[in-house]
Amino acid sequence: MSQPNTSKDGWATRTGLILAVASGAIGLGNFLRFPGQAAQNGGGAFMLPYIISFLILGIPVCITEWIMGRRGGKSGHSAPFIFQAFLSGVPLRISGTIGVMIPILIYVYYVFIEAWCLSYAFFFATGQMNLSEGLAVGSPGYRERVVENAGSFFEGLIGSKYLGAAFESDVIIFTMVCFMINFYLVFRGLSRGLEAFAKVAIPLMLVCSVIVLGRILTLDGIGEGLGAMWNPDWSSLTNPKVWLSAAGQIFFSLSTGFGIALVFSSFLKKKDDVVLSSLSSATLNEFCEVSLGGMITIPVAFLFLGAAATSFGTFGMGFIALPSVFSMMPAGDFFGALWFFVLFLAALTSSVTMLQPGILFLEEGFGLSKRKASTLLFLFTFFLCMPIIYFNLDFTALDLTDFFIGTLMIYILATIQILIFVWKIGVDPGIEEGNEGSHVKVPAVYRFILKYITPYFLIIVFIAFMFQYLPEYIDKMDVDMAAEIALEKGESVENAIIKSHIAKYVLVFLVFLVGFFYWLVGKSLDRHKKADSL
Amino acid sequence: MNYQGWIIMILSLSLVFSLSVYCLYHLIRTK
Repeated sequence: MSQPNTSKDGWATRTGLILAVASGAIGLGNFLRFPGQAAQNGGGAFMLPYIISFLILGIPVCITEWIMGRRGGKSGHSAPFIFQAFLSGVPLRISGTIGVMIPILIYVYYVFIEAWCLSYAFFFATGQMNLSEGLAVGSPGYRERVVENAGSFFEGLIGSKYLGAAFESDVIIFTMVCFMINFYLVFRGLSRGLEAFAKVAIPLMLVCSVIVLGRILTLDGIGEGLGAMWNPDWSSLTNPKVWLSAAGQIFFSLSTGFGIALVFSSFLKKKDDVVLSSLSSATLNEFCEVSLGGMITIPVAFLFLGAAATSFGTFGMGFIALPSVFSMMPAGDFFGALWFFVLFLAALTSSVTMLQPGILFLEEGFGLSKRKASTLLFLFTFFLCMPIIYFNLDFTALDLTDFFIGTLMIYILATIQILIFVWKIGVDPGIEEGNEGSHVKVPAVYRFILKYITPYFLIIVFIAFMFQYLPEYIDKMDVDMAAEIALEKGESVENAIIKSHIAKYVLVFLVFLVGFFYWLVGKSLDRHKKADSL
Repeated sequence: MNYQGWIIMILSLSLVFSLSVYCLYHLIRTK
């Protein structure tokens, strides 16, 4: 087996590694996506499929990812070399390609969203967020006007009204700042960069969110807001879409399939713990999601905006509904700044973790120094981020990339990982291996769950998810259909045609990128094979 | 919020708190 120029980087402490993996998982999904999904899918009743999915999908996939990472670490620390411990030939190249590509391409659009959070934190902190200026509190249509102002502000900031609009907005400066911070942290290495940062950022994020939570729970009438989030609608449990949404939420929230835990745990030795560590990082993620995300977003939005609060999507909730709420709330500038700082930290910790697998791949695969690998990745991601910003007309480029890379590809990688564990390593030997050196043992019931439930559940959820969403994205590329839908909705036909063309170009470009990464991964594997044979 | 909402909220929070305490206990014990 070929041995790459294994990175000398690593983790200083076990806590640092757990926090680093958890920081990758804790992101906007915890604070914005989870409460929105719960409120739209039966409120408190949503927690039943959610907890079941956590137990039969979330925990097993997390534990297996860590076990495979620790074993694969003998042959390298980036996806193609980790997978070399289990696969060979074309399957190895395909898995390696997906593993390297996912975090890099998600970073490309995630850093832009991170810049929105930083912008909002800055504008709230400097008192420039005047969404209710000139409006008399309690006057007719007051709430609606504030929400309208928040919507216009958001569209203007992110440039979703016309092509290239974002380049005329302040968001471009904040995007640059985010790029700089991310690459500064990456350049410092795993233990001095990401690990040191996660040790400060996670506690800081928790403290700031608890302050915001404290303020929200002391608002008059918050009980009604909590009801919008937690009152159960038991009839929703008969709807398969609710179960699918719960499984999807667990899957995306834990960042399973990003390949990040796989890479990070590859630095562990056989005597190091994987079971308790993987469980701890998954638990920290759930703690943030349920006890912070579930208690803040929907309750406060409902209190100020009424039943309409549950109809916003993830972006609408985060960047239109909540800014409106903070603008109407006493001391809203302070709490708004604090809240968006929490979101920025959550996004930043995730984006930094997304860069590490790419850096490690360039270091290991091509023998580049950290400086050269970081610079190359900086230029590559920056170059790719520009079209995402330019073609942000109604989020078209961002949404398409998120669907094909951030949804489709991560399902495929998670499925590959779980199938390798179940069919290649074997559940019983795999669990025995995981228990070695671990401070708690994998519960015996997971032998059964991993053999007979998780792989099939994952595949069913994947197929159902694709059936539900893929046609919608394919329709977006059909110019005639897009124009027809726009006419029906009374929207601009010209914009619909432009968006349809953008969607096609994005797909073609993504296919080209898949080919490019496949070639790159092949080159790196061949390079080490050649070095071995000399 | 109705009483079912309260029960679900408390049960959900208890679950994540219990898991957190379990992990913290073992992390400290095996430090």
